[in-house]
Amino acid sequence: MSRGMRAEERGAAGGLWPASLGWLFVNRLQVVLYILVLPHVLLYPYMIWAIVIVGFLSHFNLRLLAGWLRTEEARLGYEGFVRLLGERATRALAVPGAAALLLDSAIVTLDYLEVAHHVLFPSVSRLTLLPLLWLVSFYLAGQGMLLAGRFVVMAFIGSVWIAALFIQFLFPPAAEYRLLLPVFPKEPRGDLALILPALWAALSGPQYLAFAGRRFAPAGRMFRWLALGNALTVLEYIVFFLAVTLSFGTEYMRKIDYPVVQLIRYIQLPFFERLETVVIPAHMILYVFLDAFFILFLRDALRVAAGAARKPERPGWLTAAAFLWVAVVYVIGRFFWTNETQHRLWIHVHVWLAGALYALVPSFLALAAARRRRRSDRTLT
Amino acid sequence: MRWLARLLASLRQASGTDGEREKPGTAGVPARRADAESLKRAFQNIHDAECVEIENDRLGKATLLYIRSLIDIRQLQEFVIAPLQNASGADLRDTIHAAHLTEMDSPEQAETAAFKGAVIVLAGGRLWSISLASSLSRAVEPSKQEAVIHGPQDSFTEQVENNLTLIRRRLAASSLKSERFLVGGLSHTTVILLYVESLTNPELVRIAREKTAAVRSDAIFDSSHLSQFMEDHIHSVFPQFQQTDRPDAAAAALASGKVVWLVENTPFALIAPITFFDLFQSPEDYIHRWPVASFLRGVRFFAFLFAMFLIPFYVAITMHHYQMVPLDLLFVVLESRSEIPFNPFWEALFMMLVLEILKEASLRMPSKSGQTLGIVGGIVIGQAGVEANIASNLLIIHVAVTAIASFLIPNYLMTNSSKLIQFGLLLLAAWLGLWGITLGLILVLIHLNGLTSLKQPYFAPLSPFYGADWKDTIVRLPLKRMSRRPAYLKPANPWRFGAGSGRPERKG
Repeated sequence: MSRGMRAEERGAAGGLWPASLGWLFVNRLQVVLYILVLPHVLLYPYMIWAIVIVGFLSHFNLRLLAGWLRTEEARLGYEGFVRLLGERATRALAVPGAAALLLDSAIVTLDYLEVAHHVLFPSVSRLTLLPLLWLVSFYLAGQGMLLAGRFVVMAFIGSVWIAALFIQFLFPPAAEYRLLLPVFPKEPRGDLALILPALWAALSGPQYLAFAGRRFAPAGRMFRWLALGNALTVLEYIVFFLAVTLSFGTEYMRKIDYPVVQLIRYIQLPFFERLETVVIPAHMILYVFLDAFFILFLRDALRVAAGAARKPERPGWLTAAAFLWVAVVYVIGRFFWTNETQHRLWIHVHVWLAGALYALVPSFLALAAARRRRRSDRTLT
Repeated sequence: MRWLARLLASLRQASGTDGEREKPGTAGVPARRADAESLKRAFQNIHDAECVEIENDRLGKATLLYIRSLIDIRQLQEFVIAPLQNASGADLRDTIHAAHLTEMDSPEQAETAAFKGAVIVLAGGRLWSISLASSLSRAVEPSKQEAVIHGPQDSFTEQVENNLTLIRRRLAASSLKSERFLVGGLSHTTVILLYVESLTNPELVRIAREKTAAVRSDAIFDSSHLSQFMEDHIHSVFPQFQQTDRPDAAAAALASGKVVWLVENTPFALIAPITFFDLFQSPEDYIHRWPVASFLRGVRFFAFLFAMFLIPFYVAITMHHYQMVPLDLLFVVLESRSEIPFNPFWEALFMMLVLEILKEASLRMPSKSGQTLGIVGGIVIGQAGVEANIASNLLIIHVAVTAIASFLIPNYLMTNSSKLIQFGLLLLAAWLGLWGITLGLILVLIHLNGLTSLKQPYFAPLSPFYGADWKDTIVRLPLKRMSRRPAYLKPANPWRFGAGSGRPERKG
């Protein structure tokens, strides 16, 4: 290792992800779906405080995640989980884990395809685009976890500029500040029992990093990077929420689908307008990254469940995981997502599933690691 | 299958001379007794091969074998034949005082040396070679491929030793190491591997050495041939070795911790590892003031994107996304296209193919016909195409801008790579509009993400991300701020400024 090489560069040099990539992972995994649909759930101005509060809660959850990623068990990968939970429990948990992952990724992907179908190709079935998205994701997954993880930099650069487009809507004449009132209502409107879990689910995604502990280069400041990513996500959500609220107002937002996408239509450049035609395809880079990530995690889960985690890695597992993934997405999209009612049901499923995973995975692993540490301390004494 | 691969490798090692590294210090090892007749048989049916026998009382009989067209006859007479005729000692070393007198190990080695311009002397059962290659070389001229207005004007020639001299003059340090390889069973091409020992990552040198030694080909005539045998990804459209005919560019690469190959009979050196972003850099970037250099680099990147995306974007907009065009501009587009019987895809495909035909023709035609080609291509085909309603005015503008933009890419191989990507994007644009173009772009990005050059990441400093390397990627910051060498190279000495640099010259 070179003498003068900086700490964050060591990871890349050694075939690992540097800890500094953590903020990109957190940020892009969090914004992937809800950036398009969240303002549809958040209808009232006071909910800006809900974004901030849930953002703080997410911060604490990320502290647990960072704590887990620092443990020796996380660095050991499969062997670490076996040490923590035992081989039988690890293999048993891999099955529901794979199912949850499949469901989570299927809903996220189908929702993006729904938006693309709605905005770009109303006459083309959304499932026509699925094989293309799958092939590109499979190609990225084929490069392996290390390179697929590095792709987060491109996913970030390829999609972060979209938020900048909305800044103009925060200022007059586009913004009508009276629409932001009341910021402190006497009687909060809206179903908080749905809104708060939806917000929590909007910040989910980083829980999958818990299974990639051995890919990160050792670094003491992991939480700092994860927290930075979370703060950026909260900032982005606030920008999107304010832009939509200041432009449309609560009453109009209730009547339209995808208010974020609708707002982009108001941007005019000298040569182009209707920029949603550019933004929706550009957003695809995030889904390619995410789906490749899911396929790789699915492969690992299948290997663990089948008891092949210790055997040399064979490309057949990745192919099997990729085909399983596309089959599940297709079946859900073809048979169980055919009308608006089913669409809303799946969004609800996703809110509770992703929210539960985000709440449970880091805390469960951190607790299990702490329990094991206590037990081993007791054995030593 | 591994045993088969091992067996094949051992057979190759046993039989082939390809990619063989020259062993230093073999001269002086007692040679096995050579058979003059067997050596002569190797030179049969070669009309310019000559055999001269000289009898001398003290030295005995000496047989000289050489290829007349490859050697300097005046030097042969002066430094070999005359001293042999008048020899006063019994040892050849006392008789011939040529600098390149080397004892050969085997007749095969002697044969190879003869075809490189050496005279083979068979005396007392021992084989010697005396290098008397005739100097058939052009002068050092300004670079044609990477011409600059300011800065050094010399460029490499076909003479590998001259090229080495041009680099050594720039890096006068004992740490600049050069290793010689003979590559090609028929061509016996000399390849020189260069690196700076004190700063280049030893792992890079090891990989470069192994790759060079593993080249299996009968004939290597050009540095491009060599690079194709050493590439990590043979199916990629992106060049993984940088080719330069500028000694200053090669020396700068060595000083930053890269490895350079010089190939005999080629005026282009190979540089590796490289990144995608290196292919947009020009030696002139380091001559301009840094804001100017950064601006020009930015223009080059912009031109590259323009060259790749402009026509596919036009096709996507006109075929799928009319709603994106403001009304005033839409009238212009519709008017321009109203008489065209083809859809935008066929129109664009036809014009892009015509452009490529014109470019290829301009490269192959004699230079004096170039002007005629410009007139025929630019005016007759363009103007007539619009008047005959084969292409719209708007598309002609797009094609012309694309052609000019593609010339801004400093690397010729990269320019050609972008053409292929452009055709792919055109297909996707016609099929799926902007969604298709984005899909194609993501595919290219994923491909670049996985590429390596000499096993180092090709898309660094973006993926993997090296923050410090961005000082000299799209922008070029002041040289004083670039104290560290590129981190992705993992150099043995990462600091450019430090002990040993800027030292005053010692006199006396």
